[in-house]
Amino acid sequence: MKVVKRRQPADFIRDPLSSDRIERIWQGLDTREYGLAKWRRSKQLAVALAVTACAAALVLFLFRKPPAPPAGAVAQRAGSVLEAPKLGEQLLLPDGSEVRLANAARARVLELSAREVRLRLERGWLTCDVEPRAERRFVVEVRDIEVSVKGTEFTVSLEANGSAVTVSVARGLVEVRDRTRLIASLEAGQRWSSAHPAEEPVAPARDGGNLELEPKPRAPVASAAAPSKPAESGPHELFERGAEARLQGRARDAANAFDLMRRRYPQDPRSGYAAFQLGRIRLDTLGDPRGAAEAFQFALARPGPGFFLEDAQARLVEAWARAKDARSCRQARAGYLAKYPGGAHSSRVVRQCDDL
Amino acid sequence: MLGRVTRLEAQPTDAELVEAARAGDRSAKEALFRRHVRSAGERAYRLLGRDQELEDVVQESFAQAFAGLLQLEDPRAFAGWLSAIVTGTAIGVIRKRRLLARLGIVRAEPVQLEALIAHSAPPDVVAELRGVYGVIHELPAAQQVVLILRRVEQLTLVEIAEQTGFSLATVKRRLVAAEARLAKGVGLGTRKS
Repeated sequence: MKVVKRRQPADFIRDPLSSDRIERIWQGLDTREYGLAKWRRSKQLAVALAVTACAAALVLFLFRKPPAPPAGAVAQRAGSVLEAPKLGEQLLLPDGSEVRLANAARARVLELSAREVRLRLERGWLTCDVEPRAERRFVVEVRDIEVSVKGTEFTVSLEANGSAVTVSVARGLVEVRDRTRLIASLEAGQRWSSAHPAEEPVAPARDGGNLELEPKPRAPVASAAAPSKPAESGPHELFERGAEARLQGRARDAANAFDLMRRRYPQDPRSGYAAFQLGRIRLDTLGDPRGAAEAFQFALARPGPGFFLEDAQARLVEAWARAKDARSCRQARAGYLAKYPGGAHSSRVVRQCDDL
Repeated sequence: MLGRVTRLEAQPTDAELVEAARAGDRSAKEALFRRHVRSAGERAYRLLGRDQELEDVVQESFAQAFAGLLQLEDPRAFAGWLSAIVTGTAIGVIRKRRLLARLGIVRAEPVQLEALIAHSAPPDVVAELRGVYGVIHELPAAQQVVLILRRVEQLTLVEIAEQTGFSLATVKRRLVAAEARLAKGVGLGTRKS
């Protein structure tokens, strides 16, 4: 006998969670969990430090011995040498800036004060994520070139044979100088090289040098000191790098990788999805609704698989709403409702922009 | 004679993932989340009857579940335990929303039946769902949840008691009250029509 089970009313309630919403919930949850764990670790560390400090003070008081120099402070003094194998790939400077070194990189700290941080790159390449501070200069010297910034993320590399210096900017503004003059002023997505002129320079430097915009993919350059230079990354690697960083909770790294991927390879079928992911990270994690709107617009304009387009259009409305841009918000909302009447997000989208 | 047997690599069970998550494995937490997020979202959506606080309820429920993993006695029971947390969180959200509406801080919005009920639902199911979701805004939060678990999810009274944490007697009392209101609502609707 065949038994037919009657379906429950619950089976006829719509599935409310799109994959986009699931990702958003996970990102929020992950950030929350990670943030809490970090806070707990900081709290434990603070208690441990306080106990250690009290114990040390007591010992000093009782025995009147001169204090020993703090361990691990070597890398934080002017004159110290940073080397990737010894220090690991990442170094946090006292001013909050972050320096990431390639495996074989070597840099010397020339100055480390409230007014100036000055590093000299002697080998390999390093990437700096600089905390913006108006009163402090951040300079990287390499050969006779100076790269100075105010608040940005950029990479400086020196070929293994010392033949060429390359500067790539992921975010913000960077100035490249020699001893006497300004050579180039770089914006996000631009790259400068001291090598012979490239075959197809896309834009001229302000005052000499070879300036390229990032979207132009370059041929790989063999270099033992720079095994994984950003210029050598293809669309697949960049996309994977972004996806991996996002899963590991490194939102800024993920955003940088997706941003670079879609700018360098706009014709790649995944560039639209990379831009969509970038938009979500900017909106949900980095608090940059205008940047998110720009990324969603980029995603919507790309050719390629369109499984995320409805989500992108809905999130564009949300981004403009959060950016308090009423006109753009209404335009995007009208676009969504015209394209997806009765769509999965229509009940939410229709209420956006009204409070602006 | 049996042919060649190819052993497929088994997915980790909930119990294995819970153990790994307890040991601090973030990927195990993510695997648990991705495995159960849809059922958690569906339960929350059915109980709330609306979309607005859905993501908050789901996220809050998983956060509570992950924070309390060590209290879970039987790691195999993760799914049921999570459902109970979602139910409890939804009751809290409904109560809060009712209070804010009573104070005039938020508007009491009716359930959007068109968004809630799938187009594929047969007419008798549509009528049943319209009846239930048509009266829930008049019920206290606990009665609303008990009624939906019984009428929409068709859980037994014992299962409802397990999911809500109410005693069996309380579940019965609340269900009787909710059913009486439902019968009145359906009667009014019939007379009106």
